[in-house]
Amino acid sequence: MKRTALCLLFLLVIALQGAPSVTAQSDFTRVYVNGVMVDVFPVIRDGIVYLPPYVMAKSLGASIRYDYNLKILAINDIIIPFYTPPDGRTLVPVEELCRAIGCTVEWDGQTRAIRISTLPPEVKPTPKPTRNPYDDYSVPLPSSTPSFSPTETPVPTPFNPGSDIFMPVTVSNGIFSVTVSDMKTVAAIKDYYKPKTGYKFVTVYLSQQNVSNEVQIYTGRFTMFDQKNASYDYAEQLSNFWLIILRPGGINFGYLVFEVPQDARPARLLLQAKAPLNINLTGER
Amino acid sequence: MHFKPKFFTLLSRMLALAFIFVLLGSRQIPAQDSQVYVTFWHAMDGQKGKVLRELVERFNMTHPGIIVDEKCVGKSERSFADAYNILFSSILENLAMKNPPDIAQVYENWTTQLIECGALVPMENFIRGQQGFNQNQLNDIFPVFLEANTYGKKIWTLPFNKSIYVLYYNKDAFWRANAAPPKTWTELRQLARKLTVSQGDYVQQYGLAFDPSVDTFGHWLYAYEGNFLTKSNEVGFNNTLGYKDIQYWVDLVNTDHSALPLPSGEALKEFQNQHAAMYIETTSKLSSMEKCNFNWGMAPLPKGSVKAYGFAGTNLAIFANSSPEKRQAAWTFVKWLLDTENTTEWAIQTGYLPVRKSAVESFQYKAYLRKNPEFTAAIDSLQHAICQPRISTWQTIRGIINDALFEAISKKKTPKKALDDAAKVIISQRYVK
Repeated sequence: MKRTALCLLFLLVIALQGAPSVTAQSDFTRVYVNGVMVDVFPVIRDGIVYLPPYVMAKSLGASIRYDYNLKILAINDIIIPFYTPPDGRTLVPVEELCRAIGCTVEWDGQTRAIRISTLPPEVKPTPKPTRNPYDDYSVPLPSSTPSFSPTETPVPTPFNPGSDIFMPVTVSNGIFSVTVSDMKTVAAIKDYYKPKTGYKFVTVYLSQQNVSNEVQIYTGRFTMFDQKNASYDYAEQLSNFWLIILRPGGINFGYLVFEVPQDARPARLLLQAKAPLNINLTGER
Repeated sequence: MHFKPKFFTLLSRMLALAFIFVLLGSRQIPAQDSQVYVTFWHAMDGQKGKVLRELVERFNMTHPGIIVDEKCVGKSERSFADAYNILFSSILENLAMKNPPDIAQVYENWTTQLIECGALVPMENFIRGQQGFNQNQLNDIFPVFLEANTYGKKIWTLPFNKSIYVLYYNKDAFWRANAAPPKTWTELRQLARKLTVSQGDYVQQYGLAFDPSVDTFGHWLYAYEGNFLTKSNEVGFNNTLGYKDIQYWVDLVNTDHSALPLPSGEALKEFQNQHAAMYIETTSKLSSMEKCNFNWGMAPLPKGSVKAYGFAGTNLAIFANSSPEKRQAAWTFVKWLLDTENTTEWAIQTGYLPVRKSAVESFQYKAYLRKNPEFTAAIDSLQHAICQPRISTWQTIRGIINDALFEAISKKKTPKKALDDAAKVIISQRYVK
């Protein structure tokens, strides 16, 4: 039933677009989730509708994780293929998105709208909360989607990458290439280690690669700076990022745990090596 | 009247001269240019650092041509800092600046990396050299320690502060429960249940306190002839044996509610406070047992299908950057520090294992064992000791397995999923072949 609806949708989209192989950012196609308009622009390519996964998952109350190292995107723990257009965005096919979340999709020809509705709660698969410091990049999302009365004008929520979803960042100085794939604040490490009063733990997932042609003996230590430029060393016993001698091309990866004051906002990460390397953590790119 | 001052002047001059001669004779200060200055970096702090300092001072007194400058590099004011990690970080930083120490404590997985970048001189060169060990002196070192220090058929480092995992137990609690130390892992589980005393919801005494770490995972794995990596260094723990292993600890905690999973230091406190009747740790925690105001014992870890125990601790390495004279002086110190007399004293004072068979046979150590009969368990365990993998990424892999064990015990993942995910990460990051 759902499949038929989807096929119909695609056929309609193809018909409306005219030329199927044309990549177009349709100005007029709107996306509604449970009747609320979402501020996204669907991309239609080869007859498939693509949507940005983070905004969609957020508006549908689904968990989303992206493993930078494994290049895997998963919504509700279901791995789905994604498409990266040249402008650097990440997009997913609407069919895959809806299958992962378990919702229906309709094409409204009159208003040129894609209407996605979540199934009744008893049918909806409950996302399993898992926490793996290595490959779980799930971001806590609001449990319920904001509901608006039909008369109210839908307020599109602008997507701000710096606010709650950490976008991976890679910086290189010709010797090392460092990628911070995720950063999050956690209440406790291994349910046991709690930060001292007035402090919080910030976990930074990163990988460091030797991109030079020489063996790098001192691969450096990382220091975090907050918005006031106060510096913090990482807690070695809680982290899993160990200094190792890196051969050309060699990669070291893991996570660092920093104990920082409650009001501290991580601003940058400094690699203390022969050539210091700064990684911006604010999300401003 | 004229005579007296003259006499006194003469006497005082003679006395002064004699005093100078005595001073020179006793201290034997050699000329400045003939002294060889050797740096020795370690992470021994507190009581152990004090014992090491005394040994180094004694060496400097008895070897006038050499000055060994020992330095504890592993000290830090930071919370959650790791002494050995600071030591390795300092070694790497100074190595990159071509200024490493002459001697340092090193772990096996550091050694593999240091050999690769040509930072070390193999101990084998000195052992086979003129001032080296004769065959008896070499064979006197416990074979498992030599094996752990041999890379590519060459002895690169020598064992220094070694310890082995044992089972500490509360004798009073065992007496109350009419129990004997467990011989097998199955017995340990039954015993842990028997020793758990609860009053309503409150558990007065747990059977066991343990650190849910990679080492804990290793105890059971080794006992059933498993290992972390296969002989060809592939992931060897995500199989039926590994799942059973992790299930064992999950059952202890979540089914039987007879064990308390805590970070090692906290688990020790629970044992000291009689809140846990058994505690798994290395012999290096021996000195902490003085705080126990009850009768405690030490037994070898239970066996599975075989007796096999993991051991811990670092080795001594000589760095390649220094001059030949310095290297030779460094070897003189290493040889002296590891001779029967000094390894015996080091072991008695710190609770580390003596690295020589002759040390265990020595009069002093036998006297020590008579005074501390519990420690025979550690010496007995030594012949069944197993080395951990010696690959450069081992430290990170340890962390990954640590996390897997935590996820399984805290019911965030099933044992199978936790281990499979850990293996997946290790393989995808090419941390093993």
